[in-house]
Amino acid sequence: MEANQYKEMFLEESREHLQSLNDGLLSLEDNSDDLSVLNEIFRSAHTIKGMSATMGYNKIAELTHDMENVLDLLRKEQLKVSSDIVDRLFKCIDALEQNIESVGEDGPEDVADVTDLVASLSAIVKSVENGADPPALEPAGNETGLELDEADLDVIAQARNTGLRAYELKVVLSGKCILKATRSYMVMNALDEQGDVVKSVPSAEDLEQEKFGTSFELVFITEIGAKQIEEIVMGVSEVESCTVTEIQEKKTAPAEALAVPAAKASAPAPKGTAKPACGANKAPEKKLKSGQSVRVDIEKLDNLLNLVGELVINKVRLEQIGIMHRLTELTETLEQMDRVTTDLQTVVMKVRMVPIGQVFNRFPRMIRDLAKELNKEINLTIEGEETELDRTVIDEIGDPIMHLLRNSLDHGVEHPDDREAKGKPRTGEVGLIARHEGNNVVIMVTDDGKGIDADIIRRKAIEKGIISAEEAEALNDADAVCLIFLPGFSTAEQITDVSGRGVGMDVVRSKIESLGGHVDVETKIDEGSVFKIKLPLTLAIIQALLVKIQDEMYAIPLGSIDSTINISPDDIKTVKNKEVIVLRGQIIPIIRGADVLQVPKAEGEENEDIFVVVVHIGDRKAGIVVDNLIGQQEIVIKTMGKLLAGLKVIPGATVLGDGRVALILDVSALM
Amino acid sequence: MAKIDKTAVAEGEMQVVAFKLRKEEYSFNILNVQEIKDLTDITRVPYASDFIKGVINLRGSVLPVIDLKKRLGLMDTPYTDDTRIVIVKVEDVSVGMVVDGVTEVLVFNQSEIEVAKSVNNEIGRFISGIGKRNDRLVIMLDLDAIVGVTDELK
Repeated sequence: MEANQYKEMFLEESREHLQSLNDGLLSLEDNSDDLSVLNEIFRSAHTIKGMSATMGYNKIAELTHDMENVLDLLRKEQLKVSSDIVDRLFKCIDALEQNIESVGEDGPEDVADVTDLVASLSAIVKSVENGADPPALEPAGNETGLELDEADLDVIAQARNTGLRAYELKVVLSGKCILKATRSYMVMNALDEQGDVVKSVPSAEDLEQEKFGTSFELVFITEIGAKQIEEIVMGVSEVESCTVTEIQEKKTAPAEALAVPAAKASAPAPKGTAKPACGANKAPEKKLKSGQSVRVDIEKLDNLLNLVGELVINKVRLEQIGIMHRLTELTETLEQMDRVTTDLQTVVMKVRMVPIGQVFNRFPRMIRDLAKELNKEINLTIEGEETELDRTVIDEIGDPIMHLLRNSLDHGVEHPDDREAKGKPRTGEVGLIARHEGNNVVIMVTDDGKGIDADIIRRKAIEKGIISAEEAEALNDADAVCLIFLPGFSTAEQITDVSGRGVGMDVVRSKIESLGGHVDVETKIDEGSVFKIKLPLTLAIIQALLVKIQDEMYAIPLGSIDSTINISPDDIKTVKNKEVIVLRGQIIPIIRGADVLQVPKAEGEENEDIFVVVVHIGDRKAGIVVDNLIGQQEIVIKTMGKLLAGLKVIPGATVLGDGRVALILDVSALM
Repeated sequence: MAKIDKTAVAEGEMQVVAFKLRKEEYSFNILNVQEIKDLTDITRVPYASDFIKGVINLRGSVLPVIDLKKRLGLMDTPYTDDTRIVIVKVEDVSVGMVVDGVTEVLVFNQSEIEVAKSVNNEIGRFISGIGKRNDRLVIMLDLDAIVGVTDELK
């Protein structure tokens, strides 16, 4: 139980850090000089390493450790950011993600084989340590990057006056070393017996907290010779190499000391001066992002919402009592309470809202990989990440959006050469935009690609037997394009890895409709397409029309209601044995609520007036016959538990003001 | 839950909530019972299994209710003032059971319990044992089978 709790935390935090690794690497790819980004990446990798090691996932820790080594080299600018390295790091992140998710499902922590990755990372590190570093070390002892400020030089000069010698040490620990902090401490300790360590890079504090790669540098003042120092250091186990260089007299000249950092401003600066500055910059920035927040289990929020709902129901009861017994004092107090409960309800609802950025932030990486795979040049613009949606919607909306994006890249945006031929810029623009529109949230996936050709769609639909040639004729272009949302439709000339498995758009549509939303497409040939997803702000509270069928109360979501009409029994005609009505020239099939819901027949005469609720799903319409219209009301949707899950017609229920339960009708299942 | 049952039995005692269905006395393990409620409005749910009486409002959340007599294949009787809804929890499923009246909480010794043999009639698969005390027989019901979360509903 305990371990599981930690595991949840580990998983959640790992996912967060993987995300920031992804984000960081992406921006690093664009802007390879940005050291603050590198530091951020490094920190994330380091945290994952620490956490996984604590949890005993050594394979994960090992991989992150090797990533860290490479990152450290990048950070120290001993290695240049290249697309090859970034690619390798991305692969590592993918492997990490797989392994971490596997651990989450109690699987092994090495589902993704990391040996090759580890080897390729070590190769990078090796190549730097063997190839690039020594040349930098050779020309002048002090130019390894160790920066000596005036105070240091002062100490060195004083030491020299007393006959001691100053050395610069570069200690490299073995890549496999796990307790690096301990090893570095042992090195320091061993040295301390023979002299004084006056400076270390990274700082002693960072060394203690393992905030370094595999190597660190020291300035050591002692009376013993270089050889002896090397022996002492190499005496500590897991030290791979130790380079000792005596600091030359001339280096103590203040002018030189100033010149060194100036000339090599790019290298030493980040270590000494810029690093703390970076840290200081980062801290407030992070605070701005997350604010003071608490991680809460969604179940607890559901609970809270239930309790608030109950409170409201009880309040309504009290109100009824107050009115019945004419207790003015009570009703007045209840009015106050009403305000509080309403506020409380809004607050609880707001708490469940999550910015859609949580879903969006995984797409840049996906687009990047996909563009590479398809050999296309894509620029993804994301807008409105701060738009908030209910948590339940957020969890479900990722896949449909991903599918639309894949489609835009695969079918929409043309190859750079084709684009050029058409006189468009080589880089295709793909947009992902979220915004509020009334009580809805609209998410748009746009591209400036070739658009959807209605004629091709018609032809394909006929070929696949989805519609007949005559039907296709009758469709206008906009309707023809909507055929892509029908099951079994895929226009990809050749099935690619990316999309076009024929399960695409109809799945997108059904998913969005199951969330109470709606998807639309607008397209212009050679100008691009816009897929527009419209979603309700929240799934937990909706506006509904309460209707009565016999004595039973049902709630029909307002979003699917067109109108309500009052007809007489004569208005119902039969066409091919099916009951229909004609409304404003349109033939609408009739569904008798009492029949489809198997309502037990009550005694009584046939109503003179018939109430019909006209509902629609997309373009299809139907009229549901009910016995009475009660009114429009905000209802809190409740699940009916596992035992009743899977009832298509009744996806949920709600508790009414009088404490009774009313069932919610899923109109699309009725039709 | 099952684990606790065994230890309780091993210690030689089992505590049950006994209730009436028609003239016979039945019981649930007390560890499964969450609360006992007076009869309230039950909303019928179309398309649900026939033994599901409907759903009720339990302090703001919606809870399915099983008509236990129907589930066990017993004849129906009208509701009376004694009719209760026993709310039980099996695995993580909470569900109400309509019974004809709750009698008392009983503690049975191991020696008083006769473990059910494989009975081949309809009701047999819902019975886990029978508690005997003097002339009184209390049938112990197997909630897993009754709620049937695992197989039957599929």
